[in-house]
Amino acid sequence: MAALALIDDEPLVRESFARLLSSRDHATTCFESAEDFLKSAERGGYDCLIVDFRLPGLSGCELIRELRSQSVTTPVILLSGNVDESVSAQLEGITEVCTLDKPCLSADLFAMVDSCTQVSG
Amino acid sequence: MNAPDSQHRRDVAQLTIDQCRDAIFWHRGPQIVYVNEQACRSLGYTREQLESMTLDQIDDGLEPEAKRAIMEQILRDGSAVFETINIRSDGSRFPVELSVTAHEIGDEILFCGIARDISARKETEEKLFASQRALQHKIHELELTERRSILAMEGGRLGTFEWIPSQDEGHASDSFYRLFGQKPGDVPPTYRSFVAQAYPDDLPRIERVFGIGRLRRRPIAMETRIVWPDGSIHWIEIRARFAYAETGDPIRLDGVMVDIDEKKSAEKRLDARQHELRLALDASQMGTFEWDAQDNRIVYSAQTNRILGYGVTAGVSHVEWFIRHIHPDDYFMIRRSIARVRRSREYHHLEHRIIDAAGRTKWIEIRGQFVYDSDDRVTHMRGVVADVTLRKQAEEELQLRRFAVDAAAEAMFTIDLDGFIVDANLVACDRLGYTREELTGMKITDVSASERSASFHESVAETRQQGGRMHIGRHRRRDGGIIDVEITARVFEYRGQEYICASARDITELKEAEQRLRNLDQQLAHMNRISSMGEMASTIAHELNQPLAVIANNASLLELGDSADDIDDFKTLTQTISSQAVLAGGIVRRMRGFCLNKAPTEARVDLREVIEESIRLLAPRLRHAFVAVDTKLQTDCQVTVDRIQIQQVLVNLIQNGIDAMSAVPESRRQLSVSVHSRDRFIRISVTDTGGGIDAENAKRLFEPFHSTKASGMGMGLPISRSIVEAHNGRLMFDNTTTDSTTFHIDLPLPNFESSG
Repeated sequence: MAALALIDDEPLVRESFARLLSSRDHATTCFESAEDFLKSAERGGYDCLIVDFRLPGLSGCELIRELRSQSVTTPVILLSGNVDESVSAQLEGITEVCTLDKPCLSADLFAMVDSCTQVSG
Repeated sequence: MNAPDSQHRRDVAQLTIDQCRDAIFWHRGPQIVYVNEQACRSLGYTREQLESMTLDQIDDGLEPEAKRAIMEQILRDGSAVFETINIRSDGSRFPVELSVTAHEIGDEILFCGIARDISARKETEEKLFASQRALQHKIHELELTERRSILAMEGGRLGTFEWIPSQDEGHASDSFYRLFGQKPGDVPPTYRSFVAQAYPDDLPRIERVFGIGRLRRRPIAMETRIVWPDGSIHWIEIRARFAYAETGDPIRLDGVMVDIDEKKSAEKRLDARQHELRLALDASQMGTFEWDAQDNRIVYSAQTNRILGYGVTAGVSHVEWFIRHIHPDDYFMIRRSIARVRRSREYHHLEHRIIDAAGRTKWIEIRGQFVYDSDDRVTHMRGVVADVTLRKQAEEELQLRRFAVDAAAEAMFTIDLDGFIVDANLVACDRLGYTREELTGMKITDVSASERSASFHESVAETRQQGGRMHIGRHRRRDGGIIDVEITARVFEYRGQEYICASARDITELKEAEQRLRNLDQQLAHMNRISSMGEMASTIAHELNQPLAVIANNASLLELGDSADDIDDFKTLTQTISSQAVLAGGIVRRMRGFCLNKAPTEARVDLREVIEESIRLLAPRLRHAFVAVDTKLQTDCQVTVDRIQIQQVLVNLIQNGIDAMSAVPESRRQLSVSVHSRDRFIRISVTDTGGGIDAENAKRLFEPFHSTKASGMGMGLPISRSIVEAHNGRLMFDNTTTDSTTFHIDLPLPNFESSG
């Protein structure tokens, strides 16, 4: 059981991910945008962050950079429709980030969440 | 008789026989036993040959029946003379007179035939028969002629008479009386009775002619009038001759009288015709001439003389006088023409120049005909001549004008008000593939692929009303090809008749160029849409991934049995899956529809749908750019447009608006789309709060490749404007406020489209 944060602008997407993760007994807190998340007090208290690549306002990548600059080292799963060169370029130099295709198989999501939470401790 | 003596006599006899001009045959029955030299010569055989032949082989003149009869006669009378035909060795035949005698020599009967060639005699006989036949024919003809003349006389046209001057009494045929309108024997044919019926004006002449005939012994021949008892006047011709006694006194006048009423009335008619002809010639200013081959002189009328520039009298001159006036350039042409006409016996018809007495060049038209005698020699030429200078000048002027009309670049037609082509220039002929002769027999509706007869009359009425008219039409070539033409028509009047002069400019190439341009526009518009789509690609991919992620996650939940106990939750999950799938399908459909490359097709559409569709297509971009959208759409927004193209214009304008607002705070990013109908058009307005367009950009806004965006192609607005203008609309922008920009799309309302 891990404490997760999910940042996505689409309510139905948030809801479905949250339900899926709760089926594996993960507690998921949802945020609508990067800005909302950054404003939250517990932004450093999660085991893993699941962030949508494309967000209104600050993008997924910008959010991770901002967190790292604030020394928040929580592992991040970046949800992306298609990871191409431009995405890879934006992720260059950022640690503790892995990407997951969206949509994805639940097994892949669970495996990735498990590996992230085990590493972090 | 001793042997030498006998031998000598035999030799002499043989010689005599051989020298004889007749052929001699001795035969026993039909078998020839001896022939003389002449027989061999005339038949073309040797003696040996003949003496082994039978008579049948050389005779071809007698039937077996006749032969038997002759043989009987010979045996009964001892001799017979008859004619037959002999055959020579070469098969030719000749007539012979054969005299055959029978002789008892020893105990047998031998026949001696003497044959004389009678070819010459036969020929003479033939000739005699022929001339006899001819004579009989002549006699027969004479009889016929006589019978005919009797018939003619009895028909009343010809009467014969004899008159005894000393007693003033005479005899006459029955028809003679009829010539005088009397019954035969009514009045005795006396000079008195003749004079009594003479036409009073002719009487002095009758007396003079009869007097001269009597005294000078000349035959009387005169035409005179007589008055019938019923008062009618008739023409007769009298031919008579006096017979004289040895004393010199006339004892009898024999004569014939002929009814010449018909001839006289024909002559009268001819006179009238000649008079009419003269009048006609005078009226048409035609001169006449007659050339006599014998003395090479020309008799000419006063008008001919006038045409040549002399006085007004008729005259006679040597032909050289006329030739002198021929224009030197035309001389040989005339010579050739005359030579040809003389041979071919055609009508001589020529137009050529002359130089008249005053040195002026004139055009004359000559029509004439050679007259030939019975030996085919030319005796005369008669003809008429007219001065056609004015006509020729007019023709030349017309020809010059025709050159000009033919040289025109446009096809030109002159059409009467019934639609018949009266004239067409060369361009018209070449372009349509007809000859001028063919075209001028046709109706304009025959070559017009766009105009029917009914509408032709309408357009004529319109053209007349306005004095001229310009419209686009189509012409059909003879080979069926279609030419697009721009027709300029105007009405003109010529000699009280109205005509239409129409010039047709070939605008096929123009049309084709327009079509190519339209195709190019379509391609460009499509490229613009694809490019718009490219700009939106990442947002759209994301947009699509959202519902797909929801579907995938919900499906996983179902699979994991998360809602196995809760039937309502199960339903919610599956319903979400369905609606998200439909949402994803909608995104794909909108995208695909927007990217289609199809020829513009106009249809009635509701602009509200088009606007909503465009906003939906751009929803992810709008959301990610934090742009708030509000729409003010009135209820009735029906227009006839190409849906995709108008959507494209909207997408371009909305995208521009989003881009324009990227620099302003999120809270002030506001995009408004409204639709409302104005007077004659419907207006779509797209307003952004992007801070307006500066004056420099405003000037170049619709220029191609002008863009303020780093990634922009600069084609969005030019293409949008051309699309709106293709719909007979206008695309404008309103830049009056500093913090916002509004683009207006004005589209004509259906009712006003036609006048647009």
